[in-house]
Amino acid sequence: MTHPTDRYLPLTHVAYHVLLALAPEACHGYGIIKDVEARTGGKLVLEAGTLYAAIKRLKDDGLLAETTTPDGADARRRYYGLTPLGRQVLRAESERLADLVELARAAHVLPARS
Amino acid sequence: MRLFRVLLRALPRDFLLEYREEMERVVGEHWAEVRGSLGPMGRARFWWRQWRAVLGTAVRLRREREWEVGMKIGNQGLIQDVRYALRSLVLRPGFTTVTVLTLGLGIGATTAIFSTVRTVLLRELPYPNHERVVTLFQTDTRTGARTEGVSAANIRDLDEMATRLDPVAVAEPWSLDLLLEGRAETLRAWAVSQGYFRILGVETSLGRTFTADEYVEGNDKVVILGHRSWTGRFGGDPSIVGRTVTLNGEGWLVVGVLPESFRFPDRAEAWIPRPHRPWDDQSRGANFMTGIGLLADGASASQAQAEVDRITAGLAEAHPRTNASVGMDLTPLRSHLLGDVGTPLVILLSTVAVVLLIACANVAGLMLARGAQRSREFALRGALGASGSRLFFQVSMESLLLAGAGCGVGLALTYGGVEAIRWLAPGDLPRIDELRVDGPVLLFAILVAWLSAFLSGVAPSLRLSRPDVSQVLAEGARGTLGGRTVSAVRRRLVVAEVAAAVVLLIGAGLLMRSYGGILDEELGFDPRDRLAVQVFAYDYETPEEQAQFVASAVGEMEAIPGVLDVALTTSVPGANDASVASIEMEAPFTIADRAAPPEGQEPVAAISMVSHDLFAVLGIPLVSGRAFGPTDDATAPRVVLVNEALARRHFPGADPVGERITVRYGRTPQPAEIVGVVADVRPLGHESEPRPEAYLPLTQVGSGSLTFVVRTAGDAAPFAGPVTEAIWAANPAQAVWGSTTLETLLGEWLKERRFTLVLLSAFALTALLLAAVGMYGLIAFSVEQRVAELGIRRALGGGRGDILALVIKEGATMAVSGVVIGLGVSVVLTRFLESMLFNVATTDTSTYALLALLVLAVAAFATLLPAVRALRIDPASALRSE
Repeated sequence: MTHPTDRYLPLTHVAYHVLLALAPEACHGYGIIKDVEARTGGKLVLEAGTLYAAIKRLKDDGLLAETTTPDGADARRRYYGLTPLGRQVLRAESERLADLVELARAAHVLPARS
Repeated sequence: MRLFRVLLRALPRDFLLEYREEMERVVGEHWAEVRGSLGPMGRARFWWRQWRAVLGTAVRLRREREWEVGMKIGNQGLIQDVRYALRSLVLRPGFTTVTVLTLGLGIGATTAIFSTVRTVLLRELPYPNHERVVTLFQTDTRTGARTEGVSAANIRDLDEMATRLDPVAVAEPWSLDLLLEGRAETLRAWAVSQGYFRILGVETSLGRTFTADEYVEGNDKVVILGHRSWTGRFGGDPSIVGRTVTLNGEGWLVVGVLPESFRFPDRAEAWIPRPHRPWDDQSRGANFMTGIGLLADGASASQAQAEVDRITAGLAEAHPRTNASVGMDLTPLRSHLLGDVGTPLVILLSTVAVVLLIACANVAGLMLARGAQRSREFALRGALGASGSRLFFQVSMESLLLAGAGCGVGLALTYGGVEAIRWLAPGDLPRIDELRVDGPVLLFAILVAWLSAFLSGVAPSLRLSRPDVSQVLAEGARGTLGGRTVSAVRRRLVVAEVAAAVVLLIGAGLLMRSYGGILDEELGFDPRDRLAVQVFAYDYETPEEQAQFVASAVGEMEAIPGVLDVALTTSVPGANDASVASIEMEAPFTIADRAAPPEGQEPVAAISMVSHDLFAVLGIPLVSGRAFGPTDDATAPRVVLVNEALARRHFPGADPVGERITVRYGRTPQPAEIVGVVADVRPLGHESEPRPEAYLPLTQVGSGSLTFVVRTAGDAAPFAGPVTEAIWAANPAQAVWGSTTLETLLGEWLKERRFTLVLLSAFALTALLLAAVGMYGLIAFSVEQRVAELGIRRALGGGRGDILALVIKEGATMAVSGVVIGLGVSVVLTRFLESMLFNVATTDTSTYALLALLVLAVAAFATLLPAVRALRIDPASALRSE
């Protein structure tokens, strides 16, 4: 069974985090960096070069798109948001990862869920 | 920030157009927020990461693009190929750097050694007749061993009788004290007999050679200068020809100057004519001269040798006292000049060839690995219509570009290497001062580079240019065609590299053992903090005057602060003719109360005349009896000291003290009493064996060949200047022949060994390094190839130990096979080193074992790094990427 999202999987580490950062709402580049940093407890701090390479790739693949700048925000900033496809891919990748974690638990690599 | 902006330009243009402004703003905001909380290190780290990310992205994006372009270009021209190859190399800086450095190292080392070999062994000698010039040495017909130089009378007879050698001439070492501006300096001169210049076929660059008249005694105050003394002492003034200079206190006419290339005998600074002298016929045993001859037209060396054998046999009958067992050996000039430097140089050349091969093997391995990663690209391009030859050509182009860059790095290394070799080389490595990087050497470097491009590139190209499309595409996104086969080939290459490194290391190890062994040999005297200063003090009217000069010079020297003792000898142990001339005097002697052996077969001893305190100053212990004392003067009964070697040979099991021997030295041989026995010394450096020696007191048997041995407080080298001044203070007209520390003197004997040892060790370590890099590269590659497999093993419960064992096993198999093969090959190949070993067997077990362990340790390190990486594989991410 091939799902349309399958051809985008697996996502790279950076791409996954970028999509995750955009899941709640559209955001600008620096916001993504801050969000990822906060989410990972400072373990992952994206550099501009890395971030925009990922953005370009995701945009080319149609997983995210530029959105209009919200009212009251700095007009020079560009905002990015998830496309419906992007949201589906994010969900599919998360499920794939969850399945893997289950596999790991079954193999006693991780402790069983309490 | 400024650098960040500059680096942004590395990104593809369309990407920049879209994101440049954004990226600059985001970095600016980020920086503004964190800068306050960061220390200097933190700030540096921040920017470092930003720069790295930009460059990494640039390389990645361009690589993707290149792949697409590569698909499109298919079949265009050569320039396209070059551009494509250049781009693909620039975009893989890591691969390119490692490859270029590896090739550069191999090419540079090979070229540097080649230029040495070419200078020393291959270049034409600068003497027009050199093919027909032979040198003559005296041999002992009983043993066949070469003993000495030749004597003037024997050469004169040979010249008169021989028809296959025409002419034969002799060169006698001479010293000329040149008086310039009130001070005397010594010119190292050779008195040469008629025919000498004709034999070598040399023309003067200024003036003329000697006329026949000038070889007659009374007309012989003429001199030809060598190029070095002409430029060094007379400023290269061409008007010197025809002028009179003061040599040994007399006026001599300069008739010519020889070209720079003329240096025979070595280190000669001036030549004077040597008439046949009346006393030559009484000194047939004065065999310290150099004989040369010219093969007559149509005569071969062996014919000439046969004739010389007949003539020397006749001379032996006619002059049994001096010529009883004297033969003469003809050696072509080339082999005489080159001596036995051929062996070490050929060994070094083979060694660098091996280093080059290892470098090529490494690069070939890298190319294969890279090829494997690109096989998908090539398969697709093949499928899109690019022909096999086309793809082959393109991969070869990359190899050529790499080799070209390697050649550049190699040449830079060659220039440095040649300087290092010149600095390291023993002074008597012939013609080493002519060493330079010139046209043929450049050509050689280019050839070597081309060869390494071929070796390292063609095999991978052949593989890549015939991809099996369906197989490649079926192998999946990783694009690793035949990863297994490629790894097998690379494994074999690495095993060969390890084996070669083992062989070179063992060779170097054996030489090092020998060197250590030699240094451990007891010299019999203490060379530390001792200076040797040699003079030839013959220009004194009476022995008293000479003695007065000596006493005053010793007084001046002892007044120098830091000078502890001064002693005198005619020949200091270790003298090598380079800085201090060896005054070799072998004299026959007879032992009182024993039947005298027939003339010409008496025992011989090396004779030196010494001051009474020499043994104390040199630290030579007295074994029995007494040393000389101040009372052993000219009026006292004659006394002699012998060394243990003489005592052992001629007084076995007995103490020779009290015995009387008659040393036939000088005009009136007188019996002398052996008053003591001194310990043996090694006369010609660490490797020489002690010989029977007899020491006579200078107070009883005078000599003008004097070496002052000065013991100093601390390093003796700085005393060379003050001691020379002390001699001039005693007599400004007394020239100093040479001065050097005894340690330097002894070091000179080992310089050739050190030269070979240092270079061979450097190459062996390079080989080891390259082999380690090769092994690291291969194992890292195979870990990368197996990320998924290792990840699954981890996910399925494989412990860290299992993963580690898996990776280490791969490295260990290669290392152990390489070492085993290397040890086997060493047993065979080290035979060629045998002549250079000293008290070490070619199969010295401890050297083999030690170096095998070293190689295994380095291999373990090369394996451990990728193994640790394998441990860090996160099962989840490994699976995700599949």
